[in-house]
Order: sequence, then C-alpha cells, then structure tokens
Amino acid sequence: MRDSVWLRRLASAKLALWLIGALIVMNLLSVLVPQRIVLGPNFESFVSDYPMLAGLTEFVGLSTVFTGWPIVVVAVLLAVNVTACTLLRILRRRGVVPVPRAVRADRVVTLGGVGPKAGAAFLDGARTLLQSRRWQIVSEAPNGIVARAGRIGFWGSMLLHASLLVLIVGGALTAITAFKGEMAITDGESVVDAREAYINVVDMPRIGPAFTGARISLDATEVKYEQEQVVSAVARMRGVDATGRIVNKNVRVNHPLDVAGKSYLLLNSGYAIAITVDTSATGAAPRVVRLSEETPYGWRDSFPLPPTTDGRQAELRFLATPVALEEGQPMPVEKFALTDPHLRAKLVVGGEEVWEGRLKPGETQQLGPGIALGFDGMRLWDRFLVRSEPARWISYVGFWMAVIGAAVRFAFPERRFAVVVGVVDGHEVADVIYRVRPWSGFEARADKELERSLLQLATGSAPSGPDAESSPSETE
Amino acid sequence: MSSIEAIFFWLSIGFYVAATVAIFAGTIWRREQWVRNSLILSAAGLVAQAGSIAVRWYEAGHFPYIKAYENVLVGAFVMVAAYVAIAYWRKSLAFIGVLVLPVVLLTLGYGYTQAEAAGPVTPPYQSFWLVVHVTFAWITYAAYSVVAGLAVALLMRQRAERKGTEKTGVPSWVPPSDQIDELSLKLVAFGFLNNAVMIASGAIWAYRLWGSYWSWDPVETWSLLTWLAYGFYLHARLTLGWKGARLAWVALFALFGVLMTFWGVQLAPTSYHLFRDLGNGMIGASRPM
Repeated sequence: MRDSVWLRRLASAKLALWLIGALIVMNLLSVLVPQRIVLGPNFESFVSDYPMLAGLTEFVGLSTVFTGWPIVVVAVLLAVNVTACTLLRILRRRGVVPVPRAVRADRVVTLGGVGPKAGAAFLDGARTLLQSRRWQIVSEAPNGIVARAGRIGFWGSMLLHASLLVLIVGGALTAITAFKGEMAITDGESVVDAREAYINVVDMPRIGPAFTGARISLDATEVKYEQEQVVSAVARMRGVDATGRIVNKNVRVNHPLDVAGKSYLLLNSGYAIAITVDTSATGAAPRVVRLSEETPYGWRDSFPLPPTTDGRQAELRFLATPVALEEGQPMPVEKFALTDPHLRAKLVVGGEEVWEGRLKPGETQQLGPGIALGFDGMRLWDRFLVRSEPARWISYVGFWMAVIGAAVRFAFPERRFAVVVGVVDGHEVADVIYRVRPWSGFEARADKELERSLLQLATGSAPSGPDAESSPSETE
Repeated sequence: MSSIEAIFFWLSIGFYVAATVAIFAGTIWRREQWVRNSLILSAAGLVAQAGSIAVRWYEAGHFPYIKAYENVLVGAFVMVAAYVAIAYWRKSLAFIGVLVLPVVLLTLGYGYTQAEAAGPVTPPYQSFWLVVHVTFAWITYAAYSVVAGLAVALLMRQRAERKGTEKTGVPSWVPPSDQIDELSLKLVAFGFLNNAVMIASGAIWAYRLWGSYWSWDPVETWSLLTWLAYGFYLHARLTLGWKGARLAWVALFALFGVLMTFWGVQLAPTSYHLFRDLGNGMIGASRPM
C-alpha cells in the first residue's frame, strides 16, 4: 500500500523534533518570565516590583505561555503527528510486504548452496518447525517465508502512542470543565455549595453547572505539632450531596473531601472567635467572627457596631492569641494549639479608643454605657481550595496507558525470522535472517536455538564446536 | 545535619572526589587499572553514603525523601549504585564514571547547600503517591545519567577511533560502540518507563495536594519535556535507525532536561513559586490560587 505524501509528512520525525524544540523554547520562556498561571495572585507582586517589565511581558503575551494559542497549536500538531505516525505504522503493517523485504536484518546467516528441490523441502520443513514453536507465518512466497513472534509488543507501542492522544483530549476537556474557587468554613459551621459561599471563584466551567448545592459541614479542626512543626492537621468534615448521600471524612492535606464531583482541599487555617455583643439597640447577639488578618502578635480584625446615639461610628477591634501573651509579645510557633486562648478587645468610637481590655473564655466585660462584650470561646476556621476537574479521569487513564504501553513494548520484543532461498552467482543459496526489536529480550536464547535448528534443517546435521552459532557464515 | 551524618557525608564526598580524579587520570594517561580503582573508590563512597542515609533515617524517624537535601542524598546514592552495578557487571564500562561521578558530585554539592536539620514528615509530604513519585524519579534519573555517561564513553571511543594509530588509538578496555549503543537503548527504555510512572504518580499527588493534576508548573513541564526528549531518542534509534555519535548527542542533550528539572528551574531567579517552597507556611500547601 502506498502511503500518502501528506500522511508521511505529518508523521515525520522532523516535525516531532521541531515540535519538541518549540516546547523547549516555551519552557525556557516560562522559566525566565514569571507566569500568571503558575503564580496566581503572587503575579501581582511581580507587577508591582517590576511594573515596566511586567507590562512589556503581558503586552507581548509572554506571561501566559501555557494558556495562549501557541501551546494549543503545538499540542494539536503533536497530536496530529502521533496519530499520523500510528496510522502509518498500522497501514504498513496491514500491507503485503514481499519476502525478504519484510525483515530488515539484525543478523543474517547464509547457508551453503541449496538445490531447487532441496530448497523447497527446506522451506516446508522451516515452516513446520516455526509453526510448531508457535511462530506466526506472516508472509509467504515461493522463495521464502517470514515468521513473527512477540506481536503483543507492537500493541504496547500503539497503546503508548494512543495515550498521548488521550492525554491531549483529557487536557482539552479539563480546560473547559474545570472549576476552581476558595471557601472558608469555621469549626461547627455548615455551608451550601453556592456562589455566595465562596471567597473567590477563579475558574468557571464552560460546560455543566458550576455549583452543586451540596451541604458541607466542618465539625472541628485538630492540629498537632512535633519539633515545632505541624505534623498533622485534620478537619473533621461531612458532605451531603443533592441526592442525600452522606460522606464523612477526616480531611487532611493530600486527603481532600470529595463530594458531588468537587474536591475540598485543606489549605490553611485561622482563628475565629465566638462572642456575644450586648447593646441597648440590638440586645444580646451571639455570633462567630472569623479573624482575617494574621500578625506576628495574633490574629486581628474589627467588627462594626451600630452608630452611637449622637451618630458617631463605633467598632470593636480584636486581637486573639492561642495563649496569654503580653502586649508586643510574639505568637508561639505552635499557634494552632489553642491551649489558653485570650482575646484583647478595643472599643473605638468616632476614631477614639474608649475601652481596652483582655478577656478569657466565659468572661463578659462592660465596655461602656449600654454595651457589653462576652467572649464565649475561640476555634479555628479553615480555608479550602475547591476544585473540580471531571476530565482528570481521562488524563489518569492516559497516564497509565503510557505506563502499561511502555512496559508491554519493552517487555515483549517483536522477533522475526525470514527464511529465504535466493540465487547468488548462478547458485541457489539459503539465508536465515533474524531481527528483534527493540532488543534481544528474554527469548534471545530460545531464538538462537531455533536458528540453529533451522540451520540443522538446511544442512542436515547439527553445527558443532564452539563456533557453531556463527557457522556457516554470519553477519550482523 | 548531625555530626555523625556529616562524617559519613564528607567521607562519601572524599571517596567520590578520589574516584573522579582516578578515572580522569586513568583516561588521560590510559591506565586501565586506575579506571578500575575508581570503581572501587566509588563503591567505598557508596558504603559511606549509605551510612549517612541510615543516620539521617534514624534521626528523622522516616526514610529521607522530603525536601531538596534528602532527595539529593538518596538520588545521588541511586545514581552511583546504578553506575557501580553496571560497571561491576561489565568491567569495561567503568569508564562511564567520567560523566556520572562529576554529576554526582555536583548533585551532592547542590544538596549540601540546601541541607536542613532532620525533621518530621509535614502534611504535604504525607502521601503514598509522593513516595511512588520520588522513588521512580530517583530510578529514572539514575538510568538517564548512566546513559549520558555511556554517551560520553561512545563519543570518546569514536574520537579515538578517528585518530586511529596504535599508540593514540582506542584503549583496549573501552567497549565497542555497538555494545554501548545496545546498553544505552536498554537503559533509556528502562528510564522512559520509570519516567512515565513518575509523571503519572506525580500528577495524582498534585491533584490531591493542589487540586490540579497538571498546572504547567516549570518542574512539571520540564519533566514532561525530558520524557518527550527520551521518547525521541527511542524513535531515533528504533524507527530512524540512528546510532553512534548522533544518538550519543541526543542522550547528552536530553540530560539537559533532567538537569533543568532538578536544578535549573529551582535556581531561576524570576520564579516566585517552586517546589522548594513546599511545606512552608501554616499547614503548608504552597501552590497559590
């Protein structure tokens, strides 16, 4: 079968080399120029540190090497190259290949002269011998036969190449179906997976719903330390999806909660305080406040109060610490071990500090006329990265196809024997041609033995002596 | 690094330096015995390095596989072990230490600059998939560095063959080109397979840790490129029928990808986020949104 010129061009190794070269250039650029996709919000630090350089790289598009059209073009061409190459190999395989072109020799053993009659008998015997050893006859002609073994290796190669296509498809589907957002949940709190539950949403799927309506609950977070390092951070969580299926899990870094197709990955934690603010306007109102800012001296935040009767703005400012600390004393390293939590509070009215004090859990302080603050306790809140990459399973399949394909390709070398009777200088001569790809595998010894049997068949006697393997004449 | 660990570490460095000097001297002055001696010195260094790994293991309370120093310590060990095993199997291949030993010394030197006190396994590293990923990375890069050593051996042999005279010609202990080619092919195939497992397990770990199996992180993309480069090596050898010097240059070029993955991107001044930051911070998933 004649191959199309276009097919051959698309399957060429030169094209593959150019594409790999293009990828190398892109990679070098991505290392030298900060990438928005890699740095996320930290990219803004680069923008503020080097505004001119950042502006230039953004203008040229170098800051988004892996999300722009060049990577798409290279990936598509690579997919086409691999597909064309694979197709070509299958087409060539299906075609009828004349003997002895079917075997590019690794080793040629030339026998002595064989008469026409003896030659035909030799070929018959060789065919029987090869078939008895479970070799498949793939090509046959009056002047010779070709037999093959280890064909499974070829399919390993096909699987390996197909895996690249599966990976590219998986990557493309991931790009249009992925969801990425951030959520904060306090110990003891439940949230519903809806837009308002998120601190931010970075990626929205272009296909399918973005929010699942699943209810996610965080019972408690426990952090353990060893040698002043976090060795265990466990968030006891529960998820209930829209169908009512309940998933309970002790979520840790590397072990997210998977509910309704989304993964909730534990990123880090902060402090939340349970307080009761009792004002004459609102009455006693218990609430939980997530403190948003970490400082070397504790976690802090402010809480707005209703304006005073004379119209001045009022707010409460908090600084929470896991143990009792003097003012200006830095936080302990084991900051999530809430062994003796304390809350430093300030009441600020019209920009003026009117009360400051420190509370222990269970304490209530009168801050001024008609306002009291009760500190009920302290707990942790967790920040979760919420991801959904439904097409990742396609990519996982692609990855393991590559592994299995490569293993099969290299574990089962494809071997061929061609037994050919030809005319050299007016005399009929028989050749045994042997080829093994990609290398002589575990069967090499058995093949050598088979080769000797073929020689024995041709000459009618077993080769003997230390040079028997290379007699009568052998070239590689 | 504790004092006992440091003693073993520097002892291993000493042996490797001596082995490197011996192999270069043996190559320059054509003394086969010196090349063989370098193999013995490498084996001694390997024993000392095993000591430093054992001490580290005992002190940390876990097998050393986290952060740059521990990775380099075990990675270099696997590299030398692969070299010593192959050179012991075929004595004539002791010559490949000409490339392997300097690479090992550079690797250990880099690791030393990153050394930290032994500590517990922090949450980001508490993953089965990470163990798989790191183990296969060590094996992969050991195979690839030996291939690069073979490529250097082959290029030197061919250069010597071109000179041709009896006196300046090929040293008798250097194996023929086709043997080097054949062994390189097997090692590349072995490395390629392990590389595939490394990428696959790394992707699964990445999803569990960062929520995305592929993020075009510099380390990820360079490891993919390295895999593709060695894939090209296999195609060049098996499909295009390349052999000899041309293929040796491909192997050396592909090693550039390994070096970039391991060191290059870690040293890039403009990269704000890299794997070196993994584990810093509170609970410690370092990848930003």
